[in-house]
Amino acid sequence: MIKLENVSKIYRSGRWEVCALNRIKLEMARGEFISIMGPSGSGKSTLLQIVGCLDRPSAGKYFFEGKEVENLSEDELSEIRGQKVGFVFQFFNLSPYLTVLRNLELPLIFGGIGSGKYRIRTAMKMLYLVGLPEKARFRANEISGGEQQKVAIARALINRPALLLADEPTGNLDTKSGERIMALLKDLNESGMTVVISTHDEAIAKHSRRIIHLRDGEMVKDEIL
Amino acid sequence: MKLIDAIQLAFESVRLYRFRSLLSILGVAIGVAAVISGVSLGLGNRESIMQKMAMSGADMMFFYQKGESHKFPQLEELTYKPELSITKEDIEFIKNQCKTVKEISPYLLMPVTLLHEGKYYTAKALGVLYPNEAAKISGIKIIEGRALTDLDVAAKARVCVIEKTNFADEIFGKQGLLGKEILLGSMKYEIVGVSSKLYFPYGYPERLIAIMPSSTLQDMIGLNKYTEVEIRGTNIKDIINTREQIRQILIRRFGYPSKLYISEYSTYVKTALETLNLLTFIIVGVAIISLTVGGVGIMNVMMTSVVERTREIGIAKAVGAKKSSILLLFLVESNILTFTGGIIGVILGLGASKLVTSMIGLPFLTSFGIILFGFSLSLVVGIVSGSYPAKRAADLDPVVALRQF
Repeated sequence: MIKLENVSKIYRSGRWEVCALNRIKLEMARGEFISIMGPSGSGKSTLLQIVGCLDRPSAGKYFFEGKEVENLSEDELSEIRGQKVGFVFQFFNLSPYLTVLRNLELPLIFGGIGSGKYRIRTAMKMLYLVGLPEKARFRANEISGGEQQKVAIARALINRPALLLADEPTGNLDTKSGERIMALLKDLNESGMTVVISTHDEAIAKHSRRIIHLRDGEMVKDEIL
Repeated sequence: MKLIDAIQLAFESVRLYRFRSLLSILGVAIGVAAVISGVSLGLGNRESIMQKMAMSGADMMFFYQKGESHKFPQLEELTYKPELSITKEDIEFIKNQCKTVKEISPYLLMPVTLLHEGKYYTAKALGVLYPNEAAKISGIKIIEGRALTDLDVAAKARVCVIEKTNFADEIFGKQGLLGKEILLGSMKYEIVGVSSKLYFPYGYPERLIAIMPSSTLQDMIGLNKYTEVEIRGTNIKDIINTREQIRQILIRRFGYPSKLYISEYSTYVKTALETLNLLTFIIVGVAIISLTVGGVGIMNVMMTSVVERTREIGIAKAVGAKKSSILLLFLVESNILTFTGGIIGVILGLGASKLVTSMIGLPFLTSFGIILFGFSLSLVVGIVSGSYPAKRAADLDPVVALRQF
């Protein structure tokens, strides 16, 4: 499903260059549940952003479902992000002043999918899935961090993506909420979805079936559990 | 993304950022109001100047045969010289050739003797070809009896209208003029009407003026000509052109230099016309400035909005929004602002110009055209000033946008 060939990412800021990823060689198959582990600054987020088509590699080749991302237009990347990838951000990235329901509708709206009624029905379905139907009319900034993370996951799932990417999904949550989120991700993976998360927490990584260790932008270990 | 969804989202954002939205709506509203009230006031002012000019006869011109008007003709001038005389054909030619002529009235002005109760008086006979147009141009107002008609002219009726003057009162005494028969030159005329005072040059305070069909007068003196012609143009603005056109026609028909005198324009008319043009210029200038100010305001607000919402744009892009969607979203939003501002501006502008015109006594002039113009300009401003910020937003890199806090 996903193939990275010597992918590097270099951030430039004036005279400074930071190599966030260095020659990553990696393949991910459909239905996998992968954790990307490493200390902060090791390049976990960057890798997820590239895999999620939010960013392009500086060097190397990245194939998403056999298509080389380098050759895709910005709009085609937008379409992949909207239709095939669900991205859960570390800081949730909900629109704080919109209601939970409206936040969930956004991917459908931008994808030009369905009528208003269909969108609300789909969004409600997702809220039931993550167990938050009663929060539908709340604004995103009126609910707790754990709830926001669930809404973020619900939003990532709304277009039924083949690939779910979660950047530190438990990083800003207490242990109990974190466990619940991981259980949800596990369920999703068991229903056939490819799930990739990043974490610096070994206990969280243990939930997955494969752990990729990163250090200073380099892949140091690929461990199958 | 569907347009209806973009509109809905844009409305939500307008509501969310109420104060900022209000400010830009206000900016456009004031701009549009300034355009509409400025243009309305300008038009009202113009109209009032034009009315005043029309009242002072600025939309008129005249020409006459030299030596034949306003004084007694010399003997040799009374001799009929066809090539030098203004005829009915000339009048009709001008009427057909010059479309900016609204009214044209030829006159045959002749000194005649009046015999009344054994006494001779000097009088002036004013023969008119088109009684209706003559009445309009010369301001002949009937105060007793009736006016001359086309039928009188066609029938060469021996009727006349006498100007009411002290002089007339002296001759005829106080016992009413209507129905009396008077002997003018060699013919008897029945007085069918009395007109109020004519204005110069046809009013001669020391003479009796008898207005009569030109056909009757021509018959009496045996000359088939007119001595002068008065013309009113359709439009004050065109009167200088009209005059030039007629001058060319006359030169072609009578040669140059001919024995015709064509009226010149007073500097007053020239100044007034220049003022009118200046006024139009100022109106357009004010309109452009106000809308530019409004447009810059909107662009400012939209730019702030892009910066403020960088993260939101990043989120939108991360969940699959295309460039075009973001572009559409921001354009719709800026157009909602200008549309609302436009409507408020139209109402404000009409109200303000109504108030001011009634206060300073100008005609309140506005048209659907002005409203439509001001309003559609505001939409153009919305598109133009919304485009750049929208483009900036659409071009944001999602990763960079999401890094903003």
